[in-house]
Amino acid sequence: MSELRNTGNRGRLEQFDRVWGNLPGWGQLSAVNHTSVGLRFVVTGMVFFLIGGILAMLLRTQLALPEQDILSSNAYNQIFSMHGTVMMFLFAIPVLEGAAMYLIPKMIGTRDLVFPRLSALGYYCYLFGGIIIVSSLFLNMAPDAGWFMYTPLSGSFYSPGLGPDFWLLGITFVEISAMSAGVELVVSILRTRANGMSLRKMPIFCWYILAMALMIVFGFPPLILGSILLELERAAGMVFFEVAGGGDPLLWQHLFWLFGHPEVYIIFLPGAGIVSTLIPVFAQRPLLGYRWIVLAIILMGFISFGLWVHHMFTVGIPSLALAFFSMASMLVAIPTAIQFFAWIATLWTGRVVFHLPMLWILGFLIIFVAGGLTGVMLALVPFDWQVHDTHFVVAHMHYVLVGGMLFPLIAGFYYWLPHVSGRMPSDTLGRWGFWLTFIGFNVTFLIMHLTGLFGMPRRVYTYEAGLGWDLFNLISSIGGFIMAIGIAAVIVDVLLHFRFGRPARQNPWNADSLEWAVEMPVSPYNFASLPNVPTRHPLFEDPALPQDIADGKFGLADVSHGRREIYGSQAGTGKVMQVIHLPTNSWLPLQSGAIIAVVCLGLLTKSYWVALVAAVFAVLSLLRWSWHNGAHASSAPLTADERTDPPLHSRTFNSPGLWGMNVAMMGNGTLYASLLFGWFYLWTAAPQWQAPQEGPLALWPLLLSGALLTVAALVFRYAVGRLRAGNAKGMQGLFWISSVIGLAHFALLLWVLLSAPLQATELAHDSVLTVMLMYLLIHSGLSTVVTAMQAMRVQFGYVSVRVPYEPFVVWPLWVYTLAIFWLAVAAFVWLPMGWGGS
Amino acid sequence: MFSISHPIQLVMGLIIWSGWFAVLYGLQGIGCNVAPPAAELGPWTWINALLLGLGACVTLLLLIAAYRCWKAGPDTSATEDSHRKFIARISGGIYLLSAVAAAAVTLPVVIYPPCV
Repeated sequence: MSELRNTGNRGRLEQFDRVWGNLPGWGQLSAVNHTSVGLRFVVTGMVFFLIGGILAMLLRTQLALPEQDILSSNAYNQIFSMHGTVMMFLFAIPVLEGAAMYLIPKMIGTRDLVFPRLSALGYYCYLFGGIIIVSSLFLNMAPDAGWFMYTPLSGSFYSPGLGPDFWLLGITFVEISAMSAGVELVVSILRTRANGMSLRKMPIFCWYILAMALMIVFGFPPLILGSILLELERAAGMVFFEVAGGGDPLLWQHLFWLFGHPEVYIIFLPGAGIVSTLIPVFAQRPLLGYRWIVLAIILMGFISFGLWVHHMFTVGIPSLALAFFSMASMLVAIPTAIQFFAWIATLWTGRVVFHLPMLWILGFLIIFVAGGLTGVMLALVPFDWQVHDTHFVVAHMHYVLVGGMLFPLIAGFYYWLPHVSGRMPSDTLGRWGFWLTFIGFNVTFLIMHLTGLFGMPRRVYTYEAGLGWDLFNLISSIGGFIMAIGIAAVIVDVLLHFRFGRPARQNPWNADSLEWAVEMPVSPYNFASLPNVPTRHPLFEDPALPQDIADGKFGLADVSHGRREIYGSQAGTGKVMQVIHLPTNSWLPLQSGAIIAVVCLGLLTKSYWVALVAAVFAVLSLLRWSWHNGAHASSAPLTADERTDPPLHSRTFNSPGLWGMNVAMMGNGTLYASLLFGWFYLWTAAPQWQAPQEGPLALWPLLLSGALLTVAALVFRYAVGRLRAGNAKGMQGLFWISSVIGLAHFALLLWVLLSAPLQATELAHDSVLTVMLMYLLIHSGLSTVVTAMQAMRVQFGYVSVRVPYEPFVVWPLWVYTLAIFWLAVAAFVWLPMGWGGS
Repeated sequence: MFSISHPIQLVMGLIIWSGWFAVLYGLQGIGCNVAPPAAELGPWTWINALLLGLGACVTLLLLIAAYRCWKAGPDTSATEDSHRKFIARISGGIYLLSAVAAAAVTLPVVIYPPCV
C-alpha cells in the first residue's frame, strides 16, 4: 500500500484504478497503459539480452583456445550474426524505448503516452518479430552474414537459405515497433507536458529521449527501405545490389550505415540521459550546464547522421569524400565532451554519495571515455585502414555500446526499481554484481584491443596456434565468463528484491523530478491530479507535492465520467490548451500485430497468397482501429454539456493526431528520400548502370494521373478550409468527390505501371522505378480510402463542426502524396529526359 | 518561424549544416562523374573551388544567424521572456557550432584532389 493513500483520498483513487487499470486475467493482453507496455518492453528486452549473452559465451568458448572445433564455422557464423542482431535490434533499442515509455509520462507530469494503442501495437510487433528472428536459431537456419547483412554475401547466390529472409522480414517487423515508439515519444514530449513545464523547465532526460525518438524517426527508414529492396531482390529477383543488372552492393552499405551509425547514438543518448538524471541526484546538487547539455544533445542528434561513411573507409571512396566523413566523425566528439565536462563539474561541486546506481555511473564514465577515445582513433582514415575488420574494432564497439548503454541502463534499473516494486535492492549482492561485471568487461575487451592490433580478424571461427593471439583470447574468454557471473548476480539481485527487498520510502533517493511524486509501487494513472510545474526541480521546491497530487488538489482530479484524460499543452511553453481523451484497454493492437505476424510468416515461407490475404486483413484491422476514435461511442461521444475550458482535443483543429501524422510523414519522407538517394546513387555510381533509350512509362497518362491527384487534393483542401471557417455544408459530398477522383488517379497510375514494359528482374533502373510506382500507389490508395472513411464518418456524425479534428489529420497525407508524386515525376521522368537518358 | 525565439531555431542551424553536408558529398560525387578533373591538378580544380566557395557562404550565413540569436541576451528570470531567451540563446550556440562544423567539413577541399 502506498504511503500516499489515506482515508481521505482512497475512494477517489480506487475510482482512478477502475478507469485506468488493465483488465484481469487474459485481459492483460489488451492493456495499452504506458506503465504496463513499457515494463513489457523492458522485461522482453532483458530476455533477449540473456539469449544474446548466451550466444556471446558460446563465441568466447570457441575462441578461448586456438584450433577448437566446439562450433563449426557455419554455427559460428550464425551465432555471431545473431549475437549482434539480438543485442542491437531486440535488446538495446527496445529496452531503452520501454524505459522511455515507462518514464516519460511520469517525468512530464501526465498519465499516459498520447497514442496508447500504438504503444501496445509496437510491443506486439516487437515480440512477434523477435520470436520469428530467434526461432531461426532453433531451426538451424539463422542468418550468417553478420548483423549488417552485407551484400552480395547476403544475396540469394551466396546465401540461398532462409537465414537472410528471417533477418530482413523479422527486423522490418520489429522496426514497426521502433517507428511507432519514435512517433509516440516525440508527440508525447512536445504536446502533453504538465501545465507550465516549458522547454526550459523540461527534465533533461526528456531532451535526450526527444532527440532519440526523432533520430529513430529519421534513422530507421533507410534500413527499412534497404531491407525491403534486398528482400525483393532475394524473393522476386529484382535488381538493386547486383552489379550485372546495374545495381551496386555498396548501395546496401550506404543504406545500412545511414541507419547504423545514428543507431549507435540512438542507443547512447538514453544512456546519457540516465547519467544526466542520476548524477545530480547522487551529487546532491542540480545538474551543472543544463543549457550546454541541451545544446550538446541537439548537436549529437544531427552530427551523428553525418558519419555513416566512416564504416566504409575501406571500400574505395575518393580521399576527399573520406576526409569529409573523417572530419564529421571527429566533430561528434565535441558534444560528447560537453556532456562529460558538465557531469564532471556536477560531481566536482556536489557531495557524491556512492549508492549502488552511482557505482554503475562511475563504471560508465571510465568505460565510455575509453571507447570514445578509440572512436577518435578510428575516425582517422589511415588508422582505420590498419585495424579495419580486426578485433580492435570489436573492442571499441563494445566499449562504446556496453559502456554507453548497458552500464547506464543497469544504473537506471537500480535507481528506478523501487518505483516499480516499492522495494530496495540488496546493496551487497548489487556491489558484487557491479565489480564482477566491471572487471570482467575490462578483462575481456581491454585486451581485445591488443588482439586486434596484433592482426586477428573479426568473424573467424578459429585461428592457428602461435600467431601471438592465444593468450589474449584466453584472457578475453575468462573475462567474458567473469562478466557473465556479474550479470547473473545483478539478475538474481533484481529477482530476489521483489520478495526480500526492504520496503522503500517515498522518493528513496531524494530526487527532484516528478516521477517520484507518484505512488510506489506505481499506479496505472500516475497522478490523481495533474499539477502545475513551473520549475525544473519540483520535488526540491515542494516536498509535499506527491501528497497534494494524490489528494486531488490539481487539475483533472475528477474521473467520474469514466474517460482516460490528460492535458494537451503547447509545445514550447507547456501551457495547457486542451484535454486529450485517450483510448482504454483494447484488443485491436494484439489483433493487428498478430495479423501482421501472419503477413511476415507468409512472406518468409513464400506462401504469398497467405501473405496477401493477411495483408488485406491487417489493413482492415487498422482501419477499424481508426474508426474507434473522436466522437465514436467507444471514445468521447458528443454530449449536451461539453467541456469547453479547456476543450476536448477532438473538438479542436490542433490535435495530437495531427502532430503524430506530421511526425510519421517525416519518417515516411526519409524513406522516400532514401529511395531517391538509391536512384541517384545507382545512376551516378553503379559500374554497369543501364537505362533504356526511351522512358518506359506512358508520359501523358502519367501526367493525367498526376492532374487527377492534384484535383483530388485540392477538393479535400477546399472542404477542410470550409470546416475551419465553421461551415460543414456539403462536406460529405466534397469528401466523396475527392475520394472518387483519387480512385481514378489510382486506377490510371496502376495502368501506367502494368502497361509499362518494365524489366524489373533484369535492370536496376526498372526495379527502382517499379518500387517507386508501388510506393506512390500505396499512398494514393491510402489517401483515397481514408477520405472515403471521412465521408462516412460525416454521415455517422463523427466529423462535424463540433468534432472537426480528423480531416485536419488527413490533410498532411494528401500533401505528402501530392509532393512525392510530382517529385517522382521530376526525378524519374523529367530529369532523365533532360539529361538525355531514359 | 523566423523569430529567434521560435523553437524551430533550435534545429535550423544543424538542418542547414546537414543540407550542406549532403550537397558537399553529392556535388563531389556528381562532379567526379560528370567532368572529373585531372589528378595532377591536386586540389586546384573547379570542384574544389566551387565547394570552397559554397562552404564559405554557408559558414558565413550560420555565423550571422548565430550573432542574431546571441543578441537576445542570457535567460535569467523565470518569466515568459526567459523562455524565449532560452530558445534564442541555445539556438545561437547551435548556429555557432554549426558554422564551425560547416567550415570543418569543407576544409579538406583545400588539401585533397576531388576524385582520387
